[in-house]
Amino acid sequence: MTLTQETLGARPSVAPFAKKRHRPGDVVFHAVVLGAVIVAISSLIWVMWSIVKVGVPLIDWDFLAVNNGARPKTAGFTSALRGSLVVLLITMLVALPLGFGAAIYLEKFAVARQQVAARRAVLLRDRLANERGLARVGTSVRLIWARLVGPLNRFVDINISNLAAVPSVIYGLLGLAVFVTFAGLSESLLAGGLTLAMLVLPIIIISSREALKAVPSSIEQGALALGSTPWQAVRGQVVPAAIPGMLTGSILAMSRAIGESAPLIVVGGVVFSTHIPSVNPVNAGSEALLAMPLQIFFWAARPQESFRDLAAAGIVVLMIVLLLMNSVAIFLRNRYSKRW
Amino acid sequence: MNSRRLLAIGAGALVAAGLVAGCGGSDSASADGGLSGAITIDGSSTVAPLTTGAAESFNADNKDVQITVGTSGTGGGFEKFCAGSTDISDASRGIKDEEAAACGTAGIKYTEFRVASDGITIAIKKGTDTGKTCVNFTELKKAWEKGSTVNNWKAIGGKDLAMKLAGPGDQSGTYDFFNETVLGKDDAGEVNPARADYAASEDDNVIVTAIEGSPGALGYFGYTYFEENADKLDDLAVKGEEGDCVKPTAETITDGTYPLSRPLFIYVNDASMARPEVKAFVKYYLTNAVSLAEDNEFVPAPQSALDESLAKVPA
Repeated sequence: MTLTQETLGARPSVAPFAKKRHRPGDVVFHAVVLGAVIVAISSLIWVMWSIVKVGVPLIDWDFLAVNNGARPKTAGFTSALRGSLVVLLITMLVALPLGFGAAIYLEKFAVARQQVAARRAVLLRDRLANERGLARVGTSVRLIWARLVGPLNRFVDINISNLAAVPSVIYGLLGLAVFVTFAGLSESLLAGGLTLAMLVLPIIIISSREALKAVPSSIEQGALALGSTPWQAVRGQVVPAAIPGMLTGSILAMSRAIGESAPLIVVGGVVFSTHIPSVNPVNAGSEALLAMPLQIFFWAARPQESFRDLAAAGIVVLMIVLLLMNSVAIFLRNRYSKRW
Repeated sequence: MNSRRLLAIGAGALVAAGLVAGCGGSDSASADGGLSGAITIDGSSTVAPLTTGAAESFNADNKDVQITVGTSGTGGGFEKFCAGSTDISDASRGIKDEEAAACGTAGIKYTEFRVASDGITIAIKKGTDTGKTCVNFTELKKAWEKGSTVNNWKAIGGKDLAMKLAGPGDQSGTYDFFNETVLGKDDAGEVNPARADYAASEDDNVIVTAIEGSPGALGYFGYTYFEENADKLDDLAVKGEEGDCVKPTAETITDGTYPLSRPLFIYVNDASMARPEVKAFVKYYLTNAVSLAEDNEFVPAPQSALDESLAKVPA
C-alpha cells in the first residue's frame, strides 16, 4: 500500500536528518507527504463513518438469518453471507495447498535443480564428443533438457508475477470458460470458489516464496549437515519457520477474494435465490452463486433509500468479516513469528 | 513444536467447519404446491426487483421450486438466454434483431410477456428556473444528438443558463430506449448515437446526484428514481412528435400517453415453458403483475396488456 511508503518519510529516524539541513525542498516534500496522509486517512474515516452510521442500526439477528427479499424491511443478508463463506472455504481448500506447494517447489527445489542441470550440461557436453549412434541422440536430448531447465524456471517466475497483476475480471472470463463451460460445473458456488482460487493463487505463491526466502539458509544447511535429505530439511525446518509469513500472506489474499465482485458477475453470480444456500461445501456444485459484494451492489443501485441503507449494513458485515480475517493474520504473525 | 500446534489448530478449524456444514444442510421443506425444480432468471437490473418480488411471493406457496435471479443487464441476459442457460430473461426493452437472430441460430424459441411499465423521466434540479417546463423531442434531440454543442438552455428556447447533461452509459437499456425514441434512426436503420461528452453512469443514483448538485443540469432515468427523489428534483413535461405536453405519472406512463413510457418485459424460453413449475410461475407473475408492481414500486402495465400476455401462456 502507498500509505506505508508515505508514512515512512515521517518516521522519527528520518525526520532529524531532514531538520538539520532545512532545505526548502525537504520542507515541501514533508508537507506534500503529510498532506497525502491526511487526505487518505480522513477520506477513509469519512467513508467508514457514513457507512457505519447508516448500516450498524440495521444489523440484527434477522438481517443475518433471513433470506434477502423484495421488501427492504424484511430483506436479510444470510444467502449472501453463506454464499461468500462457502466460496471462501473452497478458495482456501484449493488455493492454499496448490500455492504452498508451488512456492516450496519454486523457492527450494527449482533453483537447486537448475544448478544441478547446469553442472550436468557441462558433463553431458563432454560425453557427447565421445558417444556414437543412438547413445549420442539420447545424450543430446538430455543436454537440451538440461539447458532448458533454467529458462523454463525463469519463464514460470515471470508468468506468476504477471498473473498477479492481471485484472480480476479476466479471471472471471477464465472461470466462465474453464469451470462453467468446459468442466460443466454450472454457475455455482463451486465454480465461483474455483475461479477466486485461480485469482489468489499467484498472490499466495509470491507471498509464500517471500516468507520462505526470509528463513536464514543456515537453518536449512544445519539440517543438511546433520544428514537430512533436502526434503526433510525443508519439511522439518524451513516450512515450520516460514509458516506464519505464509499464512499471513494467504489470509490477506483471501481478504481480497471475499471482496471481489467482477469475476463472480462474469462467472454468473445471482442476486436472489428463493433457496438459502447450504454452508456445506459438498453441496457447492448445485448452489446458486450468491455472494456479499453482488448483493451489496444490487441494493446500492436501487432507487429506494431503504435498500441503499441495507447496502450499508451489508458493507458493515463484509467489513467485519474482513477485519476478523485480518486479525487472524496478525495474531498468527505475532504468535509464531521468529527472529534470528 | 510450532508446526504441531499449527496442525492442531488447522484440524480444529476443519472439524468446526464440518460441524457448521452439518447443521446447514437441513432446510428441506415439504412440497405444498406439488411443484419442484429450478428456474433460472437473468437480465435487466431494472426489472430484477419486480421479478424478485414475484419469485419471493410465488415461493411462499411453492417451497420446492428454486428460483434464482441474476442482473447481467438486458443485453447480457439475452446472451445467456439465447445460449440456453436461462429459462427467463428480464428485459427493459424489446429484443434486438441481432439478439433474436442469435436465439434463432441456437434454436431457442421464446415468447415475450409484458409485465410492467416505466417512464423515462427528464429531470432538473428542484426549483431551477430554466425557462422551460415542457420539452419536445426536437429540443431533446438537439441537446443529446451526436456532435451537439448545446451547452445553454437558450439553445432549446429556455433562459440564459448553462446546461450540463447527465445520463446513463451505453451499457444501459435506458440509454438504448432514449436514443431509439428521441434520436431516431438513420437512413440505414441504425439507431443514432448520443453525444459522448456528458456525465454518464450505469447507476441511476449517480445521475440523480449529478443533477441535484447543479442548477441547469438536465438528465434522464427511470421513473422510480424520480419518484424516490421528488424532493430534490423537478420533472419536465415531454411533448412527443404529436400530442400535448405530458408529465410522467403512474397513470400517463401506464396508459402510454407519456411519450417516453416504455414497457418492461420478461422473455420465456418456450422449451422451459413446457415445464409445469415455469408455467405456474409465469402465470402467477402475470396474474399478480399489478399488485406486485405496487408492492415493489413499479408502474404497472395496463390490464389489457397483461390480459394479452396471459393469453399467450399455453394452457
